Amino acid sequence: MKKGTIIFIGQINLKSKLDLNKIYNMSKLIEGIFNHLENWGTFWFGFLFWGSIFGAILTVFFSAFSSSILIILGYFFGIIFGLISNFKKWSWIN
Amino acid sequence: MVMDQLRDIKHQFQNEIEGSEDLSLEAEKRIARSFMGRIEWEMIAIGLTQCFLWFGVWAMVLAGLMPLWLGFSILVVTVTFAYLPSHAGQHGHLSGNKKNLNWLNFWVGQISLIPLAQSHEILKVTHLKHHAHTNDPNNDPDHKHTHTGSWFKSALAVHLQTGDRDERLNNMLERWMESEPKFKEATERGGLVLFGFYILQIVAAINFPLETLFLWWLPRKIAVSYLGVIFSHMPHKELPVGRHADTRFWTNGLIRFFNHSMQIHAMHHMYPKICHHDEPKAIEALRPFMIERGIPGADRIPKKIINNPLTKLDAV
Repeated sequence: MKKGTIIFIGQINLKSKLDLNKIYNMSKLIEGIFNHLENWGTFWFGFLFWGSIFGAILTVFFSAFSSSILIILGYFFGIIFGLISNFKKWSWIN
Repeated sequence: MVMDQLRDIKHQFQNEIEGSEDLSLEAEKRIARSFMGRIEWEMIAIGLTQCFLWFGVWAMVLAGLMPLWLGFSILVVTVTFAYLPSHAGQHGHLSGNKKNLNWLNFWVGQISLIPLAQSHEILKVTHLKHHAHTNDPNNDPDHKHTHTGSWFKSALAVHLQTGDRDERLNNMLERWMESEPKFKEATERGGLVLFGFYILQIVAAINFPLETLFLWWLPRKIAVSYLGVIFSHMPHKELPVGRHADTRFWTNGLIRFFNHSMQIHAMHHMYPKICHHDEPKAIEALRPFMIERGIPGADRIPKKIINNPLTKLDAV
């Protein structure tokens, strides 16, 4: 497909001229994200998924403390857990 | 005394009938084919119902209509039903002989797998490899969690299949991706589905952390352990490679329902095109062939399988 190709969807001419450079850059970005997650996916899962859960558990057990501090603490534990999991290749956390 | 004599005569008569039967491969295939080709509507119903229940429990817990512990208890049970409909789709049971309904195999299979956060396509291509190379350490993707020293080790090992933990499995996948374009395409499409589940779980955990832990992550981990033990370890452990030698009839004292009928998994490996719900009557018809071929445990399988809980096999 050449740069500036007109897209047809059924009988409708969208007349939207695609900038293939943008598409190329987008696909490069997505590829980059996948490559990054291949090496760091477990870390991000530990940080965001388990960090959220750790924060919620801390909030349940230490309700007297400020919930924002406990949630930040949860994400801190999530970072540590994510790093250890990534290093030890604990794919079961996902 | 008279009853014993009558029973002996009956057994002798049955043995003579079985002995006179045509036990050729052609005869076996002819009988097996008579059980193939129908649409397994039961699996479509199970797949969609358990997924509907999963979403329903989520909605009720989030709305405060159901306590979290109850939702967790329900989903631990229902999520174990998530795999078999996908498995039926992997073998084309959901469309039967109707090629125009092929889409059912993917869509019902994938919808059913939402609670397990798995890709139907990846499970399909790896499961078909499992059938082609059952118990082969270098070519069976399920080998590592199947051939463990105990069911408990199997329940843990099944979670170590992904990532870089299982080098042998990774080598298999890389080899097939290089040599089989269709395997590669299916794996890449499945990879996108897994990426979607990865993002969804993180988003769910950020918004509903404890609910995501108890309604999604924990039930699916427990279900996967159960599946690893009941679907892989028990039917295949310590058995060699070979069409009639790689799967056994077994029992653990529990009724068939609680084992998802995996006591008769040998039937599935003998003829994967026969629907799961037709296996009992197929075994009744193919029993003499199974004994003749030396399928492990076939000589202990009762003559009547339909409605039989199979809590025990006959003594040898």
